[in-house]
Amino acid sequence: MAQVELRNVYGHYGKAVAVNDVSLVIRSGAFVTLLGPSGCGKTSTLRIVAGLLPVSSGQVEFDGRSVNRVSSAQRNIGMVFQSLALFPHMTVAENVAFGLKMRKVAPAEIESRVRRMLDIVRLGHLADRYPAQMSGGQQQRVALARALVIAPSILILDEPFGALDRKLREAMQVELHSLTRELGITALFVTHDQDEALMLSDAIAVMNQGCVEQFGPPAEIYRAPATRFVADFMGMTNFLSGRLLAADQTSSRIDIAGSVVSGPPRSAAVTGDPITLAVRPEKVTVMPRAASGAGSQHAAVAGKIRQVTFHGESLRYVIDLDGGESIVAIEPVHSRENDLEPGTSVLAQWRSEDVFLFAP
Amino acid sequence: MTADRLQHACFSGLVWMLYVFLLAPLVCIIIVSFNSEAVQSFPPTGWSLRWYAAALNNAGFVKGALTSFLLAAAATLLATPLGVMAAVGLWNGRWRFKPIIEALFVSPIIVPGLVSGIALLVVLASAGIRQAPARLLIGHMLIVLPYVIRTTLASLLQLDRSLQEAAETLGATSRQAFFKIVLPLIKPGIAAGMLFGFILSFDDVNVSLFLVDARTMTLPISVMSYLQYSFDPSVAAISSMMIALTFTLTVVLERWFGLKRLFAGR
Repeated sequence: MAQVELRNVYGHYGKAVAVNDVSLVIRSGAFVTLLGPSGCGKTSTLRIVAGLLPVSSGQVEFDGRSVNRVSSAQRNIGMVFQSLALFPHMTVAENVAFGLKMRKVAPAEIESRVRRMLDIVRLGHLADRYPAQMSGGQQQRVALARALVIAPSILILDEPFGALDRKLREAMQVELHSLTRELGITALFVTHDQDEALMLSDAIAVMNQGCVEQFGPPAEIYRAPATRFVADFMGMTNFLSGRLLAADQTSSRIDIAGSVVSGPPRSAAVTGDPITLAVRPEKVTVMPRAASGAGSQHAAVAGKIRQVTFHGESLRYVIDLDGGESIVAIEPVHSRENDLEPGTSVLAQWRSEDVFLFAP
Repeated sequence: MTADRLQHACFSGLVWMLYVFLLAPLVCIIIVSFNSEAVQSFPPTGWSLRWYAAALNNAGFVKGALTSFLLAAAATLLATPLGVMAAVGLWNGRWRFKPIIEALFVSPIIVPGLVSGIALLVVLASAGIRQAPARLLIGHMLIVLPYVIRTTLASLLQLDRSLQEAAETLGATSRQAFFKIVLPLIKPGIAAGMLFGFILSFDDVNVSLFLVDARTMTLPISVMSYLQYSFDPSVAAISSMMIALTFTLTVVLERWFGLKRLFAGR
């Protein structure tokens, strides 16, 4: 297993910039995910690491050696494609053996390594099947086995679970998680699904428009998004525009359409600047306006409920704020005695430590 | 419900009429070939195999059949690698004039055979190629080539490009990726193109008309010149044998590649 490092990497498709100054370190044995919406450059970055897309400028290094001029055949990578790309005219065993044959490994060794790898992915009994005769999950495992049997420096996975239904997808995620941890595999994974990324990764790089917006452990990405884009992508979907009234080392005060709320400290900000306040729907509580005498230490913004929807464990409120914007609140179903009806005047509240501030 | 059924009945009626329209002449020819009379009358008044014997005893027909077979086989075998290479080039290439080049490759289908024949005669004569076998081989390669290119390209376009990339990430050179992954998967397309090309070369008249000479005669042309002087059912017998050959080839290849594709999935 190798440490893979990208330094100021640029990549182009024709004239379009697909990868824009990306720097990443994938430590040996770590599982790193590139996360972002379609067209954000995550797949292009992965193809650059795989050697399938040339680097326009910058360095890609495997264990400190530049591989910019090394073909993908020589990089010793194991790749699982989005379409899986199993060879349809070969049996499972032949598929898995292909990489070893290309490496001119002795036939006896090929046989034992293929058998061992198929046992690891629990497909030993299906070695003579053709890919078309297998289920989606089994095909996934064949693709994984084919990529892993060559003992690659890095395992590269391009949205491999995209085509699976939710249940199978979750099962495969668990399987991939335990497999990569057991074998100590260095892995680079691409997905647009933040839950998948949070669950599988040691580190996540959130990408947008060819750039890495934030690179760090999943907990950090989730709890402390560095940019508005990351916050949005991590489910922090309430964005309110306001004006910064005051800021010091400990806290800040923001005016949201006439209501003053407090937020985290913000340096390098000028009083009076427009600013965007973000808060997760789960962190917003809803209080009927009549009963809200005691909530003075919390931020509170007045509004009227527009919509209530039921989601099993939780209720989701859409609240039109008096200033014209709207906010979403998600509360556990049993958090109050009687449900709030659309049209009720309410106060939306949150704790100031749940607030994030971003440039507008 | 009844309207649906009526529509369905009308549609299948139309399909059957088309089949009859397409196949009736062939069936007639086959029936006439077993005629015992010396004229091509339908329906026949008596049955016999004498016209098959006559056809097979006609040295011109036999020599022509042999020539046509060898010519079609050689043209197909020589044009196929060229056509596959051209198709792979078109598949991989990303240059600007690709549609024009693609159209150029299939132009032999569009240009009337007579025009190709005359053009080839003139060009080859000025290039010093005057022997009929060489002229015919070049002409017939032009007949086969567009079909091989089209069918090969069609199967390439159905191919998942990441298959080739997968082979390369697993350590295959691009040549190994082609021969071990791409080629086996497009084989049915290539075979279909070869079959089409072979059949069209075997019964071509238009292109060959200007390229044959008295010593090298293809079967369709010797049939045509025979018809100018006599109109006996031996021509029907020859035609029936050609139909049988084409039919057998199609069935065998469809069985072979159709079954194989089913077996390997996809």
